[in-house]
Amino acid sequence: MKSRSYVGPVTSLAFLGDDLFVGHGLELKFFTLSSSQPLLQWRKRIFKRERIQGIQLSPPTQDGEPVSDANVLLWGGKRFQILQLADLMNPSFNTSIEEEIPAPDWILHSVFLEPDGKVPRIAMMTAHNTILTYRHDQGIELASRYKWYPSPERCLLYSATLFRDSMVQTSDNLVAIAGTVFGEVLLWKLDTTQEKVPEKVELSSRYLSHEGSVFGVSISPEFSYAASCSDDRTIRVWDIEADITGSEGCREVKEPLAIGWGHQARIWGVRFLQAEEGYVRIISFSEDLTAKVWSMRLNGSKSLICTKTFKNLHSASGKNIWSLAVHPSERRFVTGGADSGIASWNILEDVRETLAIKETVANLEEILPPPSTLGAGKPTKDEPRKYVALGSRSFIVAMSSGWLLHCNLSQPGIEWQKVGFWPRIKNMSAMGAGMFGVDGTCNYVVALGDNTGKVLLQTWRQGLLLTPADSVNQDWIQICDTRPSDIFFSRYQNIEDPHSVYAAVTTFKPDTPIQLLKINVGTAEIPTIAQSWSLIPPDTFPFTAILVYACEGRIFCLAGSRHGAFALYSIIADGSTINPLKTWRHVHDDESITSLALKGISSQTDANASADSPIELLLTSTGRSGAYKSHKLFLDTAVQEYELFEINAVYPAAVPRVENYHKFTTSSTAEYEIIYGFRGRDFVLWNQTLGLEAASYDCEGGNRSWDFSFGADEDAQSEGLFVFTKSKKCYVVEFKQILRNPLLQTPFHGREVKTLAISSQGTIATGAEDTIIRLSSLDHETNQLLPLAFRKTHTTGLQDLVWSPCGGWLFSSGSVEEVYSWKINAETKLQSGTVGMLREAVYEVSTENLPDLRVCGLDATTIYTENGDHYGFLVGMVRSDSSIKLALYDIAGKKFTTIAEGHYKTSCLLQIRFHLTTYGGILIITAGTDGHVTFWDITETMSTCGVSAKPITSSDSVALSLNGPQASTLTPAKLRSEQWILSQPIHQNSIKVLEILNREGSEILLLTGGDDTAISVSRVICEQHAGKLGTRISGMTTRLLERAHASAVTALAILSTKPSVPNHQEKGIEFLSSGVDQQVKKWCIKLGEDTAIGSVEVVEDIYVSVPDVSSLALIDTGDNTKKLVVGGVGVEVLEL
Amino acid sequence: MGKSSKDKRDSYYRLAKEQGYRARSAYKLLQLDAQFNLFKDVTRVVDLCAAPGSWSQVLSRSLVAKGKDRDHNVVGSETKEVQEDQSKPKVKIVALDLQPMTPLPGVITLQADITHPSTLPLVLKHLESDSANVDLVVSDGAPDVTGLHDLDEYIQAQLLLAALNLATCVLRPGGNFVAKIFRGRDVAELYCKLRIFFERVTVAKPRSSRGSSIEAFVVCENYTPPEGFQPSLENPIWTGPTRQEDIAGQIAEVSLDDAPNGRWVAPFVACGDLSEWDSDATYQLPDTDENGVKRVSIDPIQPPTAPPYKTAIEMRRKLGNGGKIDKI
Repeated sequence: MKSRSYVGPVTSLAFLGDDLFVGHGLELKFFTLSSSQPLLQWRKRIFKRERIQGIQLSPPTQDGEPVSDANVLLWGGKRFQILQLADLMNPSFNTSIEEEIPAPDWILHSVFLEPDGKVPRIAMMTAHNTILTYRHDQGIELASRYKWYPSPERCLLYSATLFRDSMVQTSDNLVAIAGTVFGEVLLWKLDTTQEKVPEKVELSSRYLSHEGSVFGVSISPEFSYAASCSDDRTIRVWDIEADITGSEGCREVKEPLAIGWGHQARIWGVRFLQAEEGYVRIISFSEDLTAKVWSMRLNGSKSLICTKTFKNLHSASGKNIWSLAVHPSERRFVTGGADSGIASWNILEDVRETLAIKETVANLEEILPPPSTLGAGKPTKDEPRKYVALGSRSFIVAMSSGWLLHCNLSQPGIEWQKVGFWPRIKNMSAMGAGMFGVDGTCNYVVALGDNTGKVLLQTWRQGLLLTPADSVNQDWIQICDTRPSDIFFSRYQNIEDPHSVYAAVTTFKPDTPIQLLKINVGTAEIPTIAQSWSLIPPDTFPFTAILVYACEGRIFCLAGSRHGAFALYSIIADGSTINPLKTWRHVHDDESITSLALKGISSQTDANASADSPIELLLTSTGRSGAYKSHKLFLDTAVQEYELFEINAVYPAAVPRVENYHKFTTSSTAEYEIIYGFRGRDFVLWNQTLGLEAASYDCEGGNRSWDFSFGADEDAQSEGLFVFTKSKKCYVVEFKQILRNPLLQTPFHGREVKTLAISSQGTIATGAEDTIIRLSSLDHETNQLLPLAFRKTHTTGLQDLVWSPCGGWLFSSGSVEEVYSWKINAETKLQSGTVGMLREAVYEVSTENLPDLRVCGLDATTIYTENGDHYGFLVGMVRSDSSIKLALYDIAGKKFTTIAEGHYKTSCLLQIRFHLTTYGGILIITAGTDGHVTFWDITETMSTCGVSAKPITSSDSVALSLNGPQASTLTPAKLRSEQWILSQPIHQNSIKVLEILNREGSEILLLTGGDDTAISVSRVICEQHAGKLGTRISGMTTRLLERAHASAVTALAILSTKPSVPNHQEKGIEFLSSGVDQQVKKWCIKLGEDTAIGSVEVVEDIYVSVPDVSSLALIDTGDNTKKLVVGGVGVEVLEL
Repeated sequence: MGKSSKDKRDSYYRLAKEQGYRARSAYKLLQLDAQFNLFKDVTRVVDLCAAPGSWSQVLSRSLVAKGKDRDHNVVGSETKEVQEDQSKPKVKIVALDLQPMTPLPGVITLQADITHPSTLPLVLKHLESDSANVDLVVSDGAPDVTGLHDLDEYIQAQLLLAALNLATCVLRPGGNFVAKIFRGRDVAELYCKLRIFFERVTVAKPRSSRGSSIEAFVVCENYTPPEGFQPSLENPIWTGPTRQEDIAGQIAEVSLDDAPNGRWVAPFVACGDLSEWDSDATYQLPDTDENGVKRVSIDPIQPPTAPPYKTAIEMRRKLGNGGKIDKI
């Protein structure tokens, strides 16, 4: 077995000029960041078992140049390596884990000292507050290379940092700062230049007042201040100047200079940034997924103020940021997460090109005449009523007074222009804009409705009104006989007919026809209405969005409603009144549809395609349900069949109120799905592809007049414009870097993987404590996991995942009784670039009030109908209250129906497996915390529900078949201890894993792994009861392999049934096991006659860098070999 | 999660409240005792990392008030005067912790650092003894878990080894040592070290300890230090070098963990009867007890220790603004 790839916590980072060293698991990685795309140059393994927790480079020369024979020091746990930088940077140089050097204790920090000629020297600080120096002379015995110094106070530390006091002549004077497990910060000095080890070393000072463990400590570059951060969620700054220079005794300081409040979880680290005149600056990073920049004024009251928060770093799935490095220029920093992600952030915001968000409050009173001159009526305060953003650099706003204003942002500063003043549009809200391209530039047709049902059309291009002024003042066209409520444009520009734009004009009167307009923009300056139709809305169907598709003379209009419904219209003769062809309700539950867009067309491409050929449209929609969805709309006019299929649904937790969705293609390789909407008070732009927030702005909620547009022209691609009204004022927010990708390395789960399952098609599903389910594929060349989709739908950490045998469905379980079914549409990747992952159904929650009832184990087996069609699955669930539920999952009806239930005892159940015998017996095998494996014969129970096991004619296997009454009409059958045909104590306590080799047949080969460190191998023979329906166990042999691992055995995978020794006649099996001891073992077991189990041996045993291993799964590589995927805190891929 | 729902999730939490224990961990020691008969003939016992004191409570109830009505379901039984059994030799229970601990009847509570050399004479003084004659040393200490597994396991191992060092200073030959252990990747190394000092080393998982938790307990029986071993808190073993001459030995130690074959795995025992509560199970509690009285969720005997971030939360509340201290 060989480790091939790893995802997991990033534990250390260090810049080398513009480029970056990354400690990722046992490996050191090197990224070049100087080019536009960050590039992984190489990765080299450094340690046998330790993660790289620290990286240090030889200090540069006086003038800041790197020294020619620079060295790199890497440490982790009780190991370190010293390597020549030139060697390391040579891609063909191979590091050797055999070169790792053991240290006498855990290293918390280490620095280079002055070399002894060419021999590097280092100093290290241990977790027991002890400093040792080490001279890297490989010619002498290891212990003699170390020099030990007495500790001023041997206590257990969580953090320590060593500094070379560069202000003292010889730089081997060390200043040590340490954070203890008891909340103390200790400062002490050590002169390592003297040959003689001092008899005693004194503490310089002891800084008290933290209320919890100190996780990070640092000292400012000029040795004036120290900073510490803690479990108590504070940063404390200490004046150390007197303690550095002074020499008498240990000073006890109980009051910090300043305390920084603001982090909302434990703070892992602090660093000083270069001081600004009169200020000390600090950067910190925390478990709350933020980094903060702090500033402390040196004069006056010394308070530590947070000047900038970098929010939601590693937010998709993260729990922790474990590492941070600041670029030498201090313009940016990188963070490494528990989620395996590495991201780069800009510290400086006051530079024009890095300005990410710019906010302006427009002073419209200066632009508009005072209200008293506005004609008749009482003077009222004028306010912005309705916006349309025309790309990212201009927008139009209709004022309540009747003014229409245009705002141009393309130049520095805001440029306002009065478009017109019409009393007829006073207090109007009907305005919309449609985009159309002409010769590569973006044009907008703006439709403005008045109080009498008339509409005015204008064309805008790059912030200029193209429609002549006289036309603007005159050409109001009567559209409806009442005041319009809104105007919606279809976002699709037809290639066949690029000069047409479609819009719908709605009114305030319910159930009155909606006017659909075809606007001719062929002569761009003066748009005209080419055709119009009256669409009859279905019952309770206020329009909120439309999409018009026109092709070969056929026009279809799909409308979305405020109540989550879709309606389809076939548009025929001009001027006609049209009824909907079909209505689909609850597409977005009962919530407003906020956008509709066309993503692709797959009509019949053969030569015989006619006007009647069926068309398949690929659509996306967003809704206030909190989702963006993909749909397939099947249109067959010949037979009048219109079908809508949902193929994907994403509920981004970061954007609970989704307003729109856009997919960007930034280069040949990068496609970003951006979703925008509101979360609480914030307007949020969310990059679903990266799983990161692109930008957010606190606008105090979405219930206000607003509009947003992405940049329309090529040079504005990464821009966005958000305009809104707050307190009757117009706010303009410009976003500049929406498509910025801060990630150097793709993030994965932020917390430990609890369950991992691989489908028959090779899709890897992982479920983690971070409540996320991820789908990935394995790149067989690089062995990297490629993300396909992820969902944060469960509200609790995942307990189990199981694929349907066909790979089309996934079942997931969590705590609080959560069991979901997911339809996985892998084929949609080709059409839309993403794998469809649709939560189809939620299993019913029991009425009993049982909080935190965990569904610990799942299994699913296929069920066919009587005539051989795929009905769905039999899903088994075992739970922490000892209950078992068996449910039918109907794939057509998309629902679970419980058909049997019962309790085992009172102890928690953890595992369930189905087994079908060749003679039609149906068994379930359960196991739990009591160490027993129990076989239940449910053949008879199942037959009362119409479920039986029948041979499949096409093969020699058995499958379940459903006949008889509709399952939903049944009351669930009872599962009772009378159905146990065997309940065998195997382990002393929890059975953490259970695998069976043959899912069918009369012999069951059963493997279990326990918390008691044992593995069991059992052969169980099933036999049909003579004369009655059911099974008895006629033979069972169990071999218990005690102390198979040093700690709990948590994962097993059966590799093969082939004998491992060639030409060997005996039957045998090979399997893999792993556990909390982080070893993966390969076992070979010989099987004899009947139920005999022969010799058992471990044939391979290797260490994996994934702690808390929870699962092992095998994946076929296609060429008859398999790879092993190990899940735990991270994922490791091994070649077998 | 409210008190009542925690009662259903965690039967030992409920039981601890009902039986007047300060923490659910009391049942871990009770179940270890039931398996290993740890309290037999014990008159001198040291409880390390004792706060909030549930293990000391168990020791006190089992050793001092043995035979008395100790399973009274009365909350606040702490205040009850515990009568000493005159027929038995005087029992001494010394409990140490860095945190202050509410006093317990029959228990000498000391606020002291178990790694500090000055702690040893202090303990001996309170044991009224000038030699190592303790029958049992127990430790349920655990660190603040960060989530970095290797660091957490290292710190926990250091707590265990600190406890072991103190135990070697106070245990009589033949005495026993029980300590919490994280069964992580290097646990076999710890087992090896413990076996040098004890005739029998077993790793035990009480049913009251959750299956999902990495914790277990090492039960080390019959203290038999190697010949010539000099216990000392000045120069403790396996907790980093304290002298130049320690370095060679400590490095050799480190090299041990490369050799999986040289590791020894302690036998495992799950303790506590299967009929006892399962700490992983969710229970349906009847709304009324056997007498038809409506079940009331009772308050914990001691409120949980204030978290270190208590002040930070208060600050947030004070600053208001929906808890947002800063804005972009």
